[in-house]
Amino acid sequence: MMLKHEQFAPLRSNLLIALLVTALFAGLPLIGLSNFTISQITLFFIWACVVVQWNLVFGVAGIMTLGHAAVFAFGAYTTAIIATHTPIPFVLAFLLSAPAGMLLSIALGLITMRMRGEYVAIVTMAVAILLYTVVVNDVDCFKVVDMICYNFTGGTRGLAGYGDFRWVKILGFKYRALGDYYVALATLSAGLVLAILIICGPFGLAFKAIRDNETYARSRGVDYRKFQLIVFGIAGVVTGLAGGVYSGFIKTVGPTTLDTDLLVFLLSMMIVGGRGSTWGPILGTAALMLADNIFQAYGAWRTGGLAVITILFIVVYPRGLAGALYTVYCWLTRLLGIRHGSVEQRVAR
Amino acid sequence: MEWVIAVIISGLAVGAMYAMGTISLSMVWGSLGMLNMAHGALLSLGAYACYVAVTKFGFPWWTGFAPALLVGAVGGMILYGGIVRWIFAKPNFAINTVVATIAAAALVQNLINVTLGAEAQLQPFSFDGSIRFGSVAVRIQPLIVLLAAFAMTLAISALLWGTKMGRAIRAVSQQREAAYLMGIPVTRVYLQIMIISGVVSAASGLLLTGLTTIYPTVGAIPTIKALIICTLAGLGSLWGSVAIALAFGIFEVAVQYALGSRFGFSVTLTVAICLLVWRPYGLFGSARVGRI
Repeated sequence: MMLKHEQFAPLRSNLLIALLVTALFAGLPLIGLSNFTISQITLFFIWACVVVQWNLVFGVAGIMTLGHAAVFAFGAYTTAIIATHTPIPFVLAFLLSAPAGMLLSIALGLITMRMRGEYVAIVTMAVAILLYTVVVNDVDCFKVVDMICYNFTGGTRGLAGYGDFRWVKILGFKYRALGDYYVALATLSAGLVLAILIICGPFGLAFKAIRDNETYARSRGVDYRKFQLIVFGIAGVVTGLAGGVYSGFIKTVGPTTLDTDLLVFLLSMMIVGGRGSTWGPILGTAALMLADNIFQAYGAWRTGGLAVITILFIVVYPRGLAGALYTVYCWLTRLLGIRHGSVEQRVAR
Repeated sequence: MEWVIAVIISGLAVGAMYAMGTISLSMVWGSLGMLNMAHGALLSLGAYACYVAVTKFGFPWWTGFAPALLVGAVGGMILYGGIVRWIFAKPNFAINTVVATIAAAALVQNLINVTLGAEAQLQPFSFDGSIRFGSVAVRIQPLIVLLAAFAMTLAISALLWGTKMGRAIRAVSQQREAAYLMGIPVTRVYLQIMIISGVVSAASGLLLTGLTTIYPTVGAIPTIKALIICTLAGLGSLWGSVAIALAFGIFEVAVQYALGSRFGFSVTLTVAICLLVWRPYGLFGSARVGRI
């Protein structure tokens, strides 16, 4: 029973931190930021949301999926396609991105159900490439308006002009950027709370068991199939929704969302932050978006720079920023003489 | 029946390309259990090395293979010294190699983009002309690619199964710790494999781009196809992947012929994914149960 108490203690403190971070970001616009800064932070929320969910599957559950960016793109495309081709209002189209993301994510989970390791990486990447090929090769006219041909997915040009949340009408021109900001923040917070519940709860233990030694975990009765589908489903819902937010925020969705550049960008965020950790994805996203803004001056080298950072972290410090922060935290508490964790935990470390 | 022969011949030509792109990937995966996602980068490096040597430094076109192979070897060495050496024999080797080699591929692509430009170029190292077999004409370049793919697979098989070095490689791939305790220099075996893989990849890239053009991401699509083919064949099944590559090529051309060229890749990919759902460890592979 002692163990049970110990394992739920980080749940409470992590939820508390999540609440604090959300409150902090919710209050941040009050200090009067420029619209550019607000839109950059909004983008940070969207990427952080995707990386948190990807880390849930890739890092925590240890399933090497490379199709997660495609789930995000699928959500974004669902919203854009529905808003373009049907009279359904944008807000509803936005909400439909969640079940769409879940659908693709669970499909990925089912496809890779009996596969392990690198096989999962290859097949999920193949699915992402398949989606990319389908979009890029889409040249048939879905509908013709005024002699102009509109493709179903927008083809190589992508979709645009399908509407947005209409914050200008609701909040006025001056505060229009805040609408997307809070929608993205709400999505991130919801996704973060879900992720923390999974990582710190019994699911997290099951994933840890499967990741560390699958044969042993299975022989002790951990049903990995159930857990795999649940984690893919949850990650899919939130990631799809993040895609919906993206399509409303950027106002155009194109095949660049299925590009390897985006994959490398998101992957490096996860690695730099610390794969498999609770707060790593957020830290990594923040760090890389800052770095990206600095690299902007060297536009041509952007992807190369990110690649070098990723390799350096893998080779030199695979625990990432979250690991570094934890080390500093332990060092500080030891310095201040505060005991942390139970005797069992310290022995385990 | 005329079209059947035409489909088979051009399918074999396409399949030869795929087989060529698969050899090195299959070898590294089979012998080191390491999935090299930077395979495509090595293909492009080989192709570009020849192009630069011939057009910028004025080498005669037929000597272009030498700088390509050299750059491939150096690329393999850098891949070993910069990445593999630091992460192998540590936890999470599989996941770390996948991530790090994806990053390495992105880096190489970026380097080529910035230094040589993104425009498509013609590969100077190629063979023109065709041979007639009865009523059908066959271009020489795909024929050479097909023969070279067979020759390279044969050479690697001979190396793995007929030499002392091959025995060391197989020992390391079966049980690294045990091989180390038996006195096999494990790090040197890794380095050897990476260099051989770099040379083979560069040669593949050189011959492949003779059929297409050269551009920075020229290795990307062959890599995707090679990955799928390797997976379908099962871990490290060298001859299996050559067979699958040829079948893949014929199937893709048949689909292109029947449904239109833009459906070729997507239909083939869908079929490949379905096959993998049915046989998750490939058609010639088997599942490996982890140790407790």
